[in-house]
Amino acid sequence: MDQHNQGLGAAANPGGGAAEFDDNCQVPKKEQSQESKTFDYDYRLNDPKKKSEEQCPIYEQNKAGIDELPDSSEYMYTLETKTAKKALKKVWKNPEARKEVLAGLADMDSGELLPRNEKNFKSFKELKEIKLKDTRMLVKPGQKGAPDEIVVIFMKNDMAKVEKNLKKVYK
Amino acid sequence: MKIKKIRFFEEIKDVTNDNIDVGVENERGYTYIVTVGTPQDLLEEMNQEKTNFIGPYTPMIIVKSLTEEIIVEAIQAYAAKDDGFWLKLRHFATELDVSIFNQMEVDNGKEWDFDEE
Repeated sequence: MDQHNQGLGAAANPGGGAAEFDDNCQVPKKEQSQESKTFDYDYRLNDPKKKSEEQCPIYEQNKAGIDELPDSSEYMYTLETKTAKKALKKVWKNPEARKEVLAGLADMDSGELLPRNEKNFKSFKELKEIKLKDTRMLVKPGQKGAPDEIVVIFMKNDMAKVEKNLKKVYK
Repeated sequence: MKIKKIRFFEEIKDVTNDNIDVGVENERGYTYIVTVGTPQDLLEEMNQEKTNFIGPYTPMIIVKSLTEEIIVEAIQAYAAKDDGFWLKLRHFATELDVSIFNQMEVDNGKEWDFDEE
């Protein structure tokens, strides 16, 4: 590596050791552009929302293999239980139910979910219910600014089975 | 259909304007899920969704008021009629494929396809 490249590397990694700069050396346009990208990236890392999405592994999601589920800063998916996976698979087999869930998630993301769609589910103190037409979701409200966790998405008529199984997992 | 147990899954916020999911367990231990709501709740749904009709989805059982007494009375009536046909229909509606009705349409057409002599 020549001296010029060493200088650029140090600039891209502030605090990574003493940097040597040659002010007389012209920086090629391609490299200038890279430096600009680096600046933008660092700037975005100062955004708390971005930090939570990009830096904290605790927010890692589990979409139970359904990549079509949209990402949001308002909620995340922890569809980890066997029940959650089975229930979601059944919802996704039903085109109308799938459409309903995607519309509900869009409303949750934009803050347009109606008050009538949020209920207290008697069996779980730590979960709230999102009540759509023929589908339901159980959500664990996020603590200290963390996004809400969607723990199960299910067809309404599976409610008794979902409740029975998840009682072993949630309070 | 014999009822073993009736359970309310949610808390009722307003007896005149709300709907709740109800579990109806039969003697074999299977739980049917139906939604029970009030006329006012349906009106509110149309107002909030800015529509002139209730959209196509599994219908609720409609009651005057969401008191425990009235809900149980309604559920018992639905369970008693035709071995709980209308209650079971509500529970399994989303699992019925439209092809069933299309075939019934064909069969019904054939059944009445004759000339009066």
